[in-house]
Amino acid sequence: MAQAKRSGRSTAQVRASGARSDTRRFLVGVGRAFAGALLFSLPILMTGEMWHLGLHIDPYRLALLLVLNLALLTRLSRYGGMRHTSSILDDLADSLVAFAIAILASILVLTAFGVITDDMSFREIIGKVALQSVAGSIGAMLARNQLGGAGVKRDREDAEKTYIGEIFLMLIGALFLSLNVAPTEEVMTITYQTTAWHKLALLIATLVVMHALVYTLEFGGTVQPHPAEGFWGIFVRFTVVGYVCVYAISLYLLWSFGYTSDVGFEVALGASIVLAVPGAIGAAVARLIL
Amino acid sequence: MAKQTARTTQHTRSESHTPLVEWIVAAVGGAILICLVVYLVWCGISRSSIPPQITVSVTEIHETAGSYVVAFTARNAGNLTAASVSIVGEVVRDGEIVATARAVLDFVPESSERKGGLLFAIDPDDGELVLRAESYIEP
Repeated sequence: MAQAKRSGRSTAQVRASGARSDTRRFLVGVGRAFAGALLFSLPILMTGEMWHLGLHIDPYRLALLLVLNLALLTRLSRYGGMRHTSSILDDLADSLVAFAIAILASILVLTAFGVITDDMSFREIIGKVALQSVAGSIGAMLARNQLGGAGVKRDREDAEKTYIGEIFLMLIGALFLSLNVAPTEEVMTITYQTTAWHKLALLIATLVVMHALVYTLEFGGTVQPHPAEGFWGIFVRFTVVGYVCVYAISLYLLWSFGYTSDVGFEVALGASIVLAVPGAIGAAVARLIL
Repeated sequence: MAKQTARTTQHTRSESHTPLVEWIVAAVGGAILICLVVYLVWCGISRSSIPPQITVSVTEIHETAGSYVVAFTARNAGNLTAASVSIVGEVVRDGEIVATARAVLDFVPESSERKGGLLFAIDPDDGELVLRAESYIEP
């Protein structure tokens, strides 16, 4: 079939077999995506705070999170999709499939764990399922790539070598790890039990770890910077900018989950430093493995 | 083979087809997403802050070894979620409280029910059984 495609023949037979193989690939992709959704969202599917958040999260903020998530998935589809998408419409189709799979996975798991039952109100069930679908859909999208064939990955690497591409992948990594940690009450507990000095030290340590993970520890995907680029150039362009993005994601998640309401401005900023610790690790590792 | 296919696909990006079944699943996903967003926005608009209104009713009474179990259902008719809802049950005989039992429900969400049980050492049917919610906190 590859042979036929390459030679540019477009007989009806080739087209039919192409459509069949597209369908088969799609179904395999759905299976992988389901596994990915489980892998990525089981930690928060089994987190009590996340269930409770489903109840009392502000509906506007949850709706905004869902819409932003779709935009993010559509962009991610360029990198992580199971196939080479040729248009934004295909990316959107991939994203909606990932979303549908995540919703299904959330409903199944939450029902199996007895988190959603028939005596709950519609609003409660919707809140719980919709909230959980965010991490699940990112997992579903990534799984098509990470658990997928080698060919997809290699081609994808060409696409991500832009600066914005790198920063975007860091955002995905940060979002994934932060989503797992943000709902837990420990973020606020740590914020309250640490002093400003602790937080300053955390911020600096996070920057150091973030930079070291990507550039010096020689993991499999260690990025080789251009020799002409000095340490500070790379540090500012990737690590500092990356950290600021991670910090923004942390603040956004805490705001979405309502942890920044009823607290002072400093507390919200401090909590974001705390949440940026896992987020930054996620961002750094995303650059290595994604 | 896989490499070859991947290469080929790259060269013929414009020919990458989205199979019909994917469009169908995508349409379902899109419909769910639109419904969710519309529903949530509607929830936001129609949200009024009627405080939790918790009513407690007896579901059934069991006699077990040494105690009586009063199973109850707490229902929140308001549209704010109540947390740490304290349910108290009293057996009143001749105007006097002869037995008291308490239970705490973690959450009673808006328009939802939660179930629990109160244990009494005496038969609650020997007097008047009164169940009510006595306190809650905002989550």
